[in-house]
Amino acid sequence: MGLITISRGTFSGSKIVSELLAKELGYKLVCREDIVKKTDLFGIPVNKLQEAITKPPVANQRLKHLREVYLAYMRLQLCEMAINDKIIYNGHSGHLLMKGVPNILKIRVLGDMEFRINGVNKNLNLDREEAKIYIKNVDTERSKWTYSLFGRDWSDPMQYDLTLNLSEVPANKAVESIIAYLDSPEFKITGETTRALENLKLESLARVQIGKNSRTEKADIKVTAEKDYVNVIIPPKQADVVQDIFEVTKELGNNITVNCTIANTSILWIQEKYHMDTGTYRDILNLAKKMDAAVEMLRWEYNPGPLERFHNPPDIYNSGESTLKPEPSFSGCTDLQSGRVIDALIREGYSGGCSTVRGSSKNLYLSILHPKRYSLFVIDDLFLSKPPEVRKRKTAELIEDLAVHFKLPVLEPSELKSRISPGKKQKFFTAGCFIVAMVLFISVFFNHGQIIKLITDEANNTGKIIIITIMMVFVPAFAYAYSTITKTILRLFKIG
Amino acid sequence: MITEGIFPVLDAFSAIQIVILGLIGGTLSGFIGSGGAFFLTPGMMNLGIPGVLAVGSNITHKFGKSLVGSKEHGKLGHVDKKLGLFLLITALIGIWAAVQINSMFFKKQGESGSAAGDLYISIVFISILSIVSVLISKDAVKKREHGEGPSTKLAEFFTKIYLPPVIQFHVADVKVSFWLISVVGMATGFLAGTIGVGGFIGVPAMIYLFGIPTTVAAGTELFLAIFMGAWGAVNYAWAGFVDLRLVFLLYTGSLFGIHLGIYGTKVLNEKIIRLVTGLIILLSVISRIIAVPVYMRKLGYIEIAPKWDPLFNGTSKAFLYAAGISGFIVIITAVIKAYYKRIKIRANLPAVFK
Repeated sequence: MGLITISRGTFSGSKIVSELLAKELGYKLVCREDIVKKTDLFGIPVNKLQEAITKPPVANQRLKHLREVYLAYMRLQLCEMAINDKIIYNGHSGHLLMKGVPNILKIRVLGDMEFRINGVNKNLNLDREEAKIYIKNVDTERSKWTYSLFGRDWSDPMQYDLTLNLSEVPANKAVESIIAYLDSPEFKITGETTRALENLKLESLARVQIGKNSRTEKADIKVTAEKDYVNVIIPPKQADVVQDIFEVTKELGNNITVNCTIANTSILWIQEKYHMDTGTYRDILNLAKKMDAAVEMLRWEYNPGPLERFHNPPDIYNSGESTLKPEPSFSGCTDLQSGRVIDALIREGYSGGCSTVRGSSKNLYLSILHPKRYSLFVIDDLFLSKPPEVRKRKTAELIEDLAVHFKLPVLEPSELKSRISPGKKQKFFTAGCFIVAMVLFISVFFNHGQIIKLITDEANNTGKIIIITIMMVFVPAFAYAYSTITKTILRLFKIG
Repeated sequence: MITEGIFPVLDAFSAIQIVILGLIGGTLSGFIGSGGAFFLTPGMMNLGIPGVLAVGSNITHKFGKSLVGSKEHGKLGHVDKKLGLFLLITALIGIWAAVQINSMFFKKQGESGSAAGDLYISIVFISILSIVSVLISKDAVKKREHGEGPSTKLAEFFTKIYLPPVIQFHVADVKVSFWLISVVGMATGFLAGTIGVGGFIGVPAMIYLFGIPTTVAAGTELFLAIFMGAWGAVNYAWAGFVDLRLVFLLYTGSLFGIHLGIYGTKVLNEKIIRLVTGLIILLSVISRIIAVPVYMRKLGYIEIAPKWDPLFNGTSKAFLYAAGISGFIVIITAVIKAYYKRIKIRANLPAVFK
């Protein structure tokens, strides 16, 4: 098993790099065109889809469904090949197709305009100006295509592990760099990679089956899969297709369990460990009922990348292998507690599935491919290996980053509570602080003369000691009481 | 301002000015961990409050404000008490050394004694803090590959040297050599004792030498300030130089400001925090540079007419105010922008929350 994705621009030299790399490593080279041909044969008209999507906006529901089936079929092909063989995929956005699969080396190959013009000249016999226009048009089409499929800018270098500029680096040197990179533990195929590929394959297969069947092809669904468990979320208005979905997905096999959840939207619940016993589950369930939302659980096991290891270098490097003991799968999740939570959500009818991501925050962000499906994120119990203060700090930073990155509300469980059940206790406490602060303030101003007399009387040390003792109590007491009032006022404006 | 002895007679207008001073100082404190001495003390003196009363009241105010600020920062995981205590013990040694040197200057009688002390303090202030402000500002504007965090070059350098014993600080999530902590603590204490400003060296030192996140440096500095404030409050009160009315009026503004400043550390990125810190320190340094000719004239090193003294002192004061007010404006503007951005995002919250 093995997979390397190489994203290319037109005539950027990726073909030669892919061929050389495949030869050096003994991998099979798969080009986008190979898979597109099979997709066409399967009955998905890729060229028509491409034309429709890259032209001016067409809000066509049928196209939307076709697009999702296309993506699912492409993923299915790649997963099957990657599981059974070692492959290099040379295409436009293979890294986006293989969402959430860890330890895959994602490469981008590019060249400057002169380099690419030379390529066009040699292969298409166009003059310089025509070559320039050709390259620009193809780049624009590809950008639109990638954006319409994945909502991402394919040229964003942050999505790749390695970017190679073939106008500066010869192809053979580029291949050497890639091979050196592959030696890093981050790109070793592990049990997690295998599981992720198999889950993605199952998810894609289910999506394809549902999308190709005339009874269910129009359903606006979200499919997730974990081990032998498939979860399908359907909006309430299409609840009548549930039975059809169960029938269509029988072809997945007797060992596969399919669950359908009817929901309007989804809440993404991100934690490192899930527990039934905490109030968070009950609060989220209440919220899901009010919002008519499915609850999608995303287990994130934080594992900092090399740049974040400076402060606390690991004592033992575990080569990226999961340190979790393999536990019997329980309703599609890899640990018992998460399984219990998801089962409870299924019984309540609000389950949106469960998936697991391991790695840095970059991995977490990349695994959230369709943020528009969610109304909000809920974050709890993360960075469990860190001390409590570090957990608080990192959680606060993550909440801020997620909110800005995905432009969605991100809440902690405490915020769920305060919205669902506001506290009378808090109000009484603030009123008490107001009274204390007023009393202290008035006392100081009304007795100022007496205080000055005692504090400046050199002969009266006892008086000084009394005043200083009172001062060391009054000052922090006033500070605390008044600060409680100011904090409450600022909270009314949602500051703090 | 009219005074009875050294204690001012407060009217509504002067009370409001003190509240506003407190608001600015509190905001700076909550945001960068320092905002007291460099702004509040000269600010109160400018209102006609005698210097020693301004210092004593401000230190007492610092005690309670730091307690609150440190508690709020602590809730966000920004206070490493263990590190604070290590720095405190060594800072006390630094303060002692500073007091010895300062006393040596001020024992000399007359204008030249005071001028010599003022010149010494100004030179220390300018030489150390100009380097600090340039380093922080330069680092803040530099683009980095791995994000917007501060440079870790110095921290990595000291880690490589490995000077045992090395102490683990769990909250700050770093390991630092005891010897490095001692040097930084003593330097912070020495500066606090010399120029009354410890945060300006303590916070950057924690960030760049220890490799601590900016928010933790600000929070831990506030924790340190509790003890320094308490000790200062007791001493100044014993000497009869604390006016509790000034303290409470300062609180009326500063305890609003400190929450705004802490909120700012939550919603704004590290880069802005460091930029604001660098800007404030730089303007404070310029303020001191402008005041130096006055001291040099008094010591006979240069010849300028005494009639120019008010101009130099006034301009120096203006820069000091510019430091505090510009820092305050930058923080508040950035906080308001971030606040409206959040409101916009939170508008997407489902109806069940509204």
